[in-house]
Amino acid sequence: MLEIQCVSKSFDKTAALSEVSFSVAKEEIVAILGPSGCGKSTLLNIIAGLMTAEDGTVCFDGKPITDIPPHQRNFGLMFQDYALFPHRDVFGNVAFGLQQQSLPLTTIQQKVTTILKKVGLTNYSHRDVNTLSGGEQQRVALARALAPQPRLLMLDEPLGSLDRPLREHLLSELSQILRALHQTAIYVTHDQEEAFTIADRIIIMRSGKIKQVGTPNEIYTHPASEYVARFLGMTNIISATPERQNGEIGVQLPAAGWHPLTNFHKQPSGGHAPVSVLLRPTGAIISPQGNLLGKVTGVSFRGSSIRLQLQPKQSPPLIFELPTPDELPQVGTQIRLKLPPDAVTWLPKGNA
Amino acid sequence: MTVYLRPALWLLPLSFLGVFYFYPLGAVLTYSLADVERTVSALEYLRDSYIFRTLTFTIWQACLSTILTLLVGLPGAYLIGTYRFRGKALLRTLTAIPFMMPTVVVASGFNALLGARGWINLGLMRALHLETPPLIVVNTLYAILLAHVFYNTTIVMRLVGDFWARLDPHLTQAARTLGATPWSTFTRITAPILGPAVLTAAILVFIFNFTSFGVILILGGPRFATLEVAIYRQTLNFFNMPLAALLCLIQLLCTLGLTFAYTRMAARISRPLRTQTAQTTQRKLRKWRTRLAAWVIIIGLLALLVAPLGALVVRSTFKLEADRAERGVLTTGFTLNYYRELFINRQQALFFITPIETIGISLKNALLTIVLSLGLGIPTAGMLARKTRLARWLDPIIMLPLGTSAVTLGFGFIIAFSRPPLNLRASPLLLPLAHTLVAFPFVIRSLLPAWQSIRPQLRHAAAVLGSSPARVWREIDLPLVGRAAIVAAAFAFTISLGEFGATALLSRPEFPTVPVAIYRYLSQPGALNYGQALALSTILMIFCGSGMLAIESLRFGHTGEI
Repeated sequence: MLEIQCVSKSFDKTAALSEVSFSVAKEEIVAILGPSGCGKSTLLNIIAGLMTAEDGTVCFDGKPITDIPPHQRNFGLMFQDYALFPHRDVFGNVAFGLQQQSLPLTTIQQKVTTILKKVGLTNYSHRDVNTLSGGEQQRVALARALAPQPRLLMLDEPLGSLDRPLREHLLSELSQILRALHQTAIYVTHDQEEAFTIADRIIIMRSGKIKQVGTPNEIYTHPASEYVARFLGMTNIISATPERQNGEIGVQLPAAGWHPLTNFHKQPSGGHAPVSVLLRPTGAIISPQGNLLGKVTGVSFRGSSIRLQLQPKQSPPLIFELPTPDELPQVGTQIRLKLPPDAVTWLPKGNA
Repeated sequence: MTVYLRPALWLLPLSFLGVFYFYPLGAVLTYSLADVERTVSALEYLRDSYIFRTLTFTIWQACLSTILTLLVGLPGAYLIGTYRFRGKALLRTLTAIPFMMPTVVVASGFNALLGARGWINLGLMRALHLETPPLIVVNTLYAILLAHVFYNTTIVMRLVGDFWARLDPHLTQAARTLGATPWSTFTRITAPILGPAVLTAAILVFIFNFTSFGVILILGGPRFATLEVAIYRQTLNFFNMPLAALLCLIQLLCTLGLTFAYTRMAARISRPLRTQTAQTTQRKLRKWRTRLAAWVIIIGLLALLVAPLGALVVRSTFKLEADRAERGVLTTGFTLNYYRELFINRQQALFFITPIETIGISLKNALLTIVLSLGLGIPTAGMLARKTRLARWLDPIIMLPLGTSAVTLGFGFIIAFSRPPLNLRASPLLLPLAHTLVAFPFVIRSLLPAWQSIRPQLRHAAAVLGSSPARVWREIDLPLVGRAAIVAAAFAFTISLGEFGATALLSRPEFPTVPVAIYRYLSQPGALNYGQALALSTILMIFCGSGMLAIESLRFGHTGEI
């Protein structure tokens, strides 16, 4: 439906986007995830037509839309600061897009009422938008963007300026609304939890480049690079030497010996030079037969699980989430962990 | 000072305003209403009388001037509000210069450009071999309108431009993505949001035009009179004090009403819209069409705002016409003769002193004004910054002089202080006191942000570390307020030097200030008098220009407020 090909854009000679390509299918929700300043908002502005790309094409339904001005694209864009019109009340804001289509007043009223009901703001029509709470403003902004039934809705950090509990509540609500309307959407955020919750597919960006595209599960289990892994908060990254045993590719882990690689189909090249691998923090158990030996340097109790900090020899400290054992391991003691077969993922170096 | 003594500090500004503001205004009030019968008959006489004509002309010229100022200022506001370009700071400063220029300087400037002896007329006369000046602008309504536009364009540019610059660009972007064309985005989003800012600027410009005095008196000539000019003429030319008092009363009611409207509007636009820093909102001039438009606006503004002052400076050093002695042989060219003449007192009848001595008199007044207004202003602003309930109540009262015209104040001084119990007619403090009243709101407004920036924690920290309250004041408050105090002093200095409304009524013939001297020279015939008026104006302009540059470079937090 939406096709972005090789889009580049720079500001004052620093590249904001370089050769970005991806597509969004009908009724799909794609999250663009990246730290602030990675070019996410620039990308949205280009898709919306508020900025022009220096290079590359943006196509919608197979037709290039570069020359179509923003008001003829029928895309919706929701801003982080909502950008509610301060001189119009809730009704005036939500109706704005419909008024631009010169619809009869009764139709507009009917549509506004419907959409306000959908976002949970029945009876808010005549409220002054400047007096609404953050969450209410967010709903008005959503209603305003949805009212003209955009072919594509873009949300730029829509929950960014709200506090944590409200954010979680609104996130699931937002997800439900978008799904119920079968809305094609691009959701931009720097918060991985939001991206993983709402998206069918996630695009990870850094400094204007796409680092990885995949479903939440693909990205979580196989981060494409050390950068992606670290960005997603995965810290068990160690350097290990690849080695073939019994025809299978694996790595020699410090203090744990040989372990197979899950993504062996992408064979690490370069023979025996050390590579970065990621140890999944979940799935291991404490067992005397375990192959990973290390000193316990910290334990914190989390109910059904514990968070264990382990210091194996010649390795950076590792963190594991284990099912709570009958007896908590003592700090300072040596223990053995049995890693599941799929615990180790190879992280390609890439250019990150 | 202890906590109990603090409210007593209010006595300082309040007693000052009581004696030098409310007492004179009260005197005007009682004077104008003393003879009720006379007042009633005067009111009956109001229709198509002198008063009625004066009032309608005052409103009429103020309306015209305001509309023209908006027409000139709004494109400028658009330019500085939405674009980023090299030289923008310089443009801001240049366009702000007229605002602080004394009316006599501006009048001289327009005279040097468009007057009978100005560049354009003398040039045309020579080029076309004419006997009389072809362009008659001075002493017509056009001169008044031009000077008012010259004065107030910067208000529109700053108030509206700064508001525009802080407008969240997401608002227009949101409108565009919701299907609005650029034109309907402007008419339905940008214009309605800017509306209150434009209205606020318009009211402020209207107030300044309504109370315009020097421009009307000098550039309008004898045919035109606003309320201000009428009060002046009735007092000094016709000695009709009761009529002048009645005019003052009308003026007072009008200006207070307008000031009230202005403060209400100004409070409305300072309501926290979600605004952005100018960095994120402004675009570069990219397309050739916008570049061209920007150039047209900039050149137009500079032509209007800088040309008269430039014409003044150059004309004051150029001999363009024959002196009375040298009929026939006309040598033109660069001359410092007009400046040299300032040291000679040729016309004993016109002045008791040499023209250059008026500068000394003006500077002495200005220094006394600085001392008085800072002595009162620093503690008063400190009290206002504490935001106690008392401070909120007293704030508008302290700002009241802003809503009172200078001529009204001058007239009040004449009525109140030329008789016991407080006869100040001969006191050298009379003018500095009047100037202090005029400058007081500006002094307070420049000191207040600095006072408010001092966080109470700083004082607490110093107190905990062992400083006595007096020492806290000296070690924390004073250094932090220092810079703002310089700005306030520059305001007091510039305002006092250029003040003409109250001064015209109050200055004594033997001690004329510079503006008074310029006015007298301009109203005398002869090329030499004209040249001396321009030379004195140029000197005054340099003094006020320096004061203004000090204000521009040192003030802080200067968005929104003028």
